[in-house]
Parts: sequence; C-alpha cells; structure tokens
Amino acid sequence: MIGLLVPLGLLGLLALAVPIVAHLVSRRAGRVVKVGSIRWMHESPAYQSRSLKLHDLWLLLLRLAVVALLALALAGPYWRHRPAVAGTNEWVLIGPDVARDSQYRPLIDSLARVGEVHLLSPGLPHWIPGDALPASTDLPALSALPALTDYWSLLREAEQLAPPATRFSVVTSDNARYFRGERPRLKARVEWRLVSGSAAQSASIADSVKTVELYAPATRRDDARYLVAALQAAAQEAGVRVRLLRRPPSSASAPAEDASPSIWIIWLGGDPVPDGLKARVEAGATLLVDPADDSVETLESLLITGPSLPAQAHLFRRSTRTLEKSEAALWTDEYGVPVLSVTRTGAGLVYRLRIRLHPDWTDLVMTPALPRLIGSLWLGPSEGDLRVAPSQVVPALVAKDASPIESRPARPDLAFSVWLLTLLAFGLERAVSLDWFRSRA
Amino acid sequence: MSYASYRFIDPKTLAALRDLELVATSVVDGFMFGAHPSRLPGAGLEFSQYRSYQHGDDLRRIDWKLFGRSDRYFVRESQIETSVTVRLLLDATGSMAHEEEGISKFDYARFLLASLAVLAHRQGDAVGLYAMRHPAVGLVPPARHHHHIHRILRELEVLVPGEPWPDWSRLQGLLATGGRNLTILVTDLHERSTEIRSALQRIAALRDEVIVFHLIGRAELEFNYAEPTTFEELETGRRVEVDPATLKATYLAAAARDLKAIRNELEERRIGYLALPIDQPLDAALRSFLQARQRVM
Repeated sequence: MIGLLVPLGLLGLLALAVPIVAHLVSRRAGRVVKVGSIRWMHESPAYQSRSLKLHDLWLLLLRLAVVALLALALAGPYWRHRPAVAGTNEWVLIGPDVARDSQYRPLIDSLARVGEVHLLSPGLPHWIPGDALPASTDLPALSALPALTDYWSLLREAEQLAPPATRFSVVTSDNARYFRGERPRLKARVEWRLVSGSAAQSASIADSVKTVELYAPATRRDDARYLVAALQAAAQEAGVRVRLLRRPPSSASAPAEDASPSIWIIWLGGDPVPDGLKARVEAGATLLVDPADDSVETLESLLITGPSLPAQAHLFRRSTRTLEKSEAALWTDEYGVPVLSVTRTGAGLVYRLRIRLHPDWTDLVMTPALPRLIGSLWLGPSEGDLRVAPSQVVPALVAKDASPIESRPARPDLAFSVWLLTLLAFGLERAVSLDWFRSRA
Repeated sequence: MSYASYRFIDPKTLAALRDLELVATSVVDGFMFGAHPSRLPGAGLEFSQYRSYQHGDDLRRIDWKLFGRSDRYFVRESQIETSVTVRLLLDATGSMAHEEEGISKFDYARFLLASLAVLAHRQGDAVGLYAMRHPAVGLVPPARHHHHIHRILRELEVLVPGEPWPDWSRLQGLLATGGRNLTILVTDLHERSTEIRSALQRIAALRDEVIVFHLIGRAELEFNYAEPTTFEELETGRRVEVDPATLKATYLAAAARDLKAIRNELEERRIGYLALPIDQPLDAALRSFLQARQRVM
C-alpha cells in the first residue's frame, strides 16, 4: 500500500486538465503555410486525420502521465507497513447526567453497539442502556456529583481498569465544572463527544419545596443569620420554596421529622457531628459543617471558588484543618489551600467549611456572591456555567507505547523512483513531440 | 549614374550583366532574332560591309556602284539601328506573394526586372513597366530619356501584389501599339483558369518577341514539407489540409506534368522561357540566359 506524506500534493492532479485542454484546442490550429497555388494538392482527410489522432493520442496520454507522476512525486509517497493489530477493545464511557437524559438514548444505543458501556462515575460501573442507573448516581447526590466528579481523573482510572489497547469513546456534558486539574496524558486513544445543556442538570431541582435543618448554637448566631439570608435569596432566585427548621444542637439526635432525601442539614458551631446526623447523612442527606474556633490562622487572601462561579471575596481567618484523603476541595484561597471541601459518606455528602460565614473571617458574607454560591451547592448548577470545547478536553496522547497504527518514515522512500519515472516520461514526451524517433527512422 | 540607392538594384547583378545585351542592337538584314524578317528594306539601313557575291544571294542586294567601279559582284550588308521597345510585365497577382526562406517571388521579380530595365536602358532602348493586376495596369509608358529609368525603378519599389489578372481588353489597349517590341513577363504562371497563357498567346500574335521568366519556389518544386500542414492559397484563400509525406508523389507528378505542358505550349508559340527557382542567385541565372541568347543572335 502506498501512503502519502503530503496528500494535498494530489491537488496537482487538477493540472491534468491542462494537457487535455491543450490537446483539444491545438487540434484545430495546425501550421498554415501560404502558397501561390494549391492546384497540385488534394485533401487526404481520412488518412490524415486518423494518423493525427493516433499520434496525438499517445502524446496526450504521455503528457497526462507526466503530470500525474509529478503530482504523485510531490505528494511524498512511501510504503505503508500496517502491522496486524489484535482485536481492539472499545469502551464507551457515558457521563451520568447524559445517561439519565432520554434525548440521548439513540446516541447511547448506537454507541453501545460499538463497545461496552460504562458510566463515568467512580468505579466505572458497567451499565447496559435501558437498565436503571446504579444507586450512587441517583438523585440525592446529583447536585453534588459535579463536585466529586472530575472526568479527567475518572478517565485515568478507566485506563487502568480497562484491558490494554482499549479505545475509549466518551460522551459527557460540556460544563466546565466537570474538568479540573491537569489534562491527562494517556496511552489509549480517546474520542470525546460533548453534549450541551443536558436537561439532567436542571432535573436536580425536582421538588419545589426544599427543607433545610439548621443547628446553630448561640455563638454562631450571626453566622446563622447570614446563612439563612443567603439560603432564602438563593431559593427565591431559583423559584423554590424553602422550609427552614431551626433546631437547637441538642436535639440533633432526635429522629428527623422529614425523611426526604433531599434534605440539607447545616451544623454550625464546630463541635463534632452527632451520630444521629451522621446516620442520616449515610442515608442520603447533605451536611454542611462549620469549622471550630481552634487552630485558626490569620491571613490575607482571595477566595477562589472555581471558574464557574467567580467571587471577589477576601479571607481574613481560616481554620488550619487539612484536607483528608476522601475530601475534594471545592473552594480554595489564592494559594491553593482548601476552604470548602466535600466528601462522600455513604449515600450522602458532607461539605466542610474552613471558614466561618462571619465578617471577621471573610467579607464573602457581605457580597451577593454568597447566595449564588450557596445556591449552586444546594440547588445544583445554575445557568451560565462555562462550557468547554472538545479540543480542550481530549486527553493528550502519549506517543510512546501508543497503539501502533503505522510507522511513517521520515522521508518518503518511494520519492526517488517516482521522480525518476517522471523524468523518463518527460524525456519520452519531448522525444515524441519533437519527432525524434521519426526523423531518425 | 548611380542606381545603388534603389532597393531592387543589386550591384553584383549589374556588374555581372555589364557586357551583355538584352536586345540585339544591330540586326543584320535578313536576320532578326525571332522569326520575323526585316520589314525595313532600303531606307534607314546603314552600311555595314561588303562581301563577295555568293551563289544564291538575292540579286537585289548587289551593289551596282561597286560593280561599276570594280567589275565584280559584291553584296552589300547593312545594319539598322533597331529601336525596340522593351516592355516589362510584372505579374502582380496575389500568388506572387509566395514567400520562401525570407524572399518572396514578387521581390525576386522586382530584382530581375530592375536589372533588365537598366540593361535595356543602357542600350538606349525605350523601357516601359506594366503591372499585371486589375485594374490599373500601365505604370510607366515606354520612353527613352535618361531619367526615365529612375521612374521605373521608383515605381518598382512601391508595387504590391494582390489583385487578379487584368482583362485582355484592358491589356490590349496598352500593348497593341505596333512597332517592334520585346515583351518580358515575369510570373509564377499560377492562374485561375488560363488567363496568363491566353494573354501570352495574344501578345505573341502581335508579332512581339515574348520572353517568360517563370519563378518557382524550391519547396513548391520539391514539396519537401515534413508534418501535416494546412496550405492556404494566397489569391483565393482556399485551404487544404494535407499530409505531405503521402501526397508528395502525386504532387510531384502533377507539377511535372503541368510544367512540361506549359513549356511545350510556350515553345510552340515561340515564346522564350526560363524557369528561375527563387533560391538561385539572380546574376548567374540571368547571365547564362543572356549569353545563350546572344549566341543565337
């Protein structure tokens, strides 16, 4: 098989039109000699035109061959060695929100025919389209799923799990929040398809009434005030009714009045979380925790809340509690020190703040950004998130050890022979057109 | 006088023809070049020499005065200054524009006629120039005065070929003037029907001496074209596409046949004929021709 280093060189084949046009045009012309009399001449049309056509046809073909060979020589031909590739595996990875969305079912079904389908969530569970989604992808934690879901790290995980020489076809939402960290360099080949505006994102606001349980000691009265105001503002903007239950910390162990899974529990004060609440979190509730007053450091720093929701806020105090292994940082300060972390506990999520929502600690509470931030955590991502383009998300392919498709030589090894053929053809064409053979004979 | 400034004067040719005569300046009575006997017996004859009477001479030619003095019979030989009008006819039809290797038949003809005009003028004969093209024909009526030759040479320079052969009615008016004429026609003898030959025939019937210089191109004669070409006739514009390689044999046969026929016809009418390939140097060809004529005369 002949491969081409510069396939665009074949555009030179367009020049094949030139000899053809010249042949057609010049046939009419012919040399005209003016003489005094033609009475001794008579026309010999049949023989003359036939010999003209035959002679010219070979010349035309020769000229076409010269042009074609020239175009081929310029396109850099080489011998292509295609090694036998063992049957490649294909995995189809689907983002959970896309999997839930029925409008993408045809796409998923067509992809399912190509390879085995896995969900792009921790553990890469195998999934057959049509089945119900596994529990971990169910609604309660959906809003928080983006926080823990970093598709790039999941892809790295997928590369480890899948057999070698697997190709990946990935279908996910194009929201920028799903991509954090460094773009991975993989050995496997990935084809990434982005779908925009998944309806699943807005499906998280399933209920129009959201319940929030707030446990705040007296020391956190101001914090609680700011928080409640933010919650109410966020709820109003999203068109959701909020049912706020304020309870004293001592009643935390009491069984919950509301067992709906979308309940938010806010534990302020810094004390250890009681087991009753922990149990409810395991069952699917979401918990927001405030730092304790010990091990606090003073600093001057900016709050970074991620590209999807920028906020201009300053931090003055921060808890020094470090990030645990299971936690993922959501908000950081400008030095990268985590400010808000999230961790999955059973079926629920735990958000841990390292700052108190108090003017002494941060001026975030004075900005309109607070309701937006709280709202995005609580109610799910809002409109206007950043989108990404496919070129931004496709992992870099590590050339070394990459599944070999073909080895391309540095220089086209067929070039010399093709150039030689071109020159030979050109010489032959000149010889024929100048009647070199005829005058010799 | 100097003719060097004229375009169609080649000094080499003139030098080569210096000692030659176009027209015999003296005619011994009883003998004139061509077939016509002298029409002027007696008056006008100039004494040339006496020779003794030979048996068979005309008795009228015996000089009786000399007999009276010497008692022997002598025949008087006289000569007469001929006054011949040399009429130069130049074929100016379109076919004369035939060109080969840079020289056209028309230019060659003009060189030829210029030399002949000078020659005739030098001999003291009247020279006239006629262009054979429709309608204007007579260019320079014959005259003898010394700057007449310049007029002829000037007219030669501005001529262009292109028109068809003129009607005989027009020619007759110009050429049927009587007197002794030498009519020289330079042509390529390419005619639409037979206009040139019939004109020649009629001029010959006028009892003029006629000479035809036939100009032929080398390629026309040998037809050595290589590749298929389209030939266009100059006068009519007709075209024919030809493969010379295959046509050559028939062409040469047809050409030879026609040339032979023309030669025979002219000879029959006692018209002088010289075929001149236009790649041949003019002086050599003309010199040999005139020398041959002189031997006859």
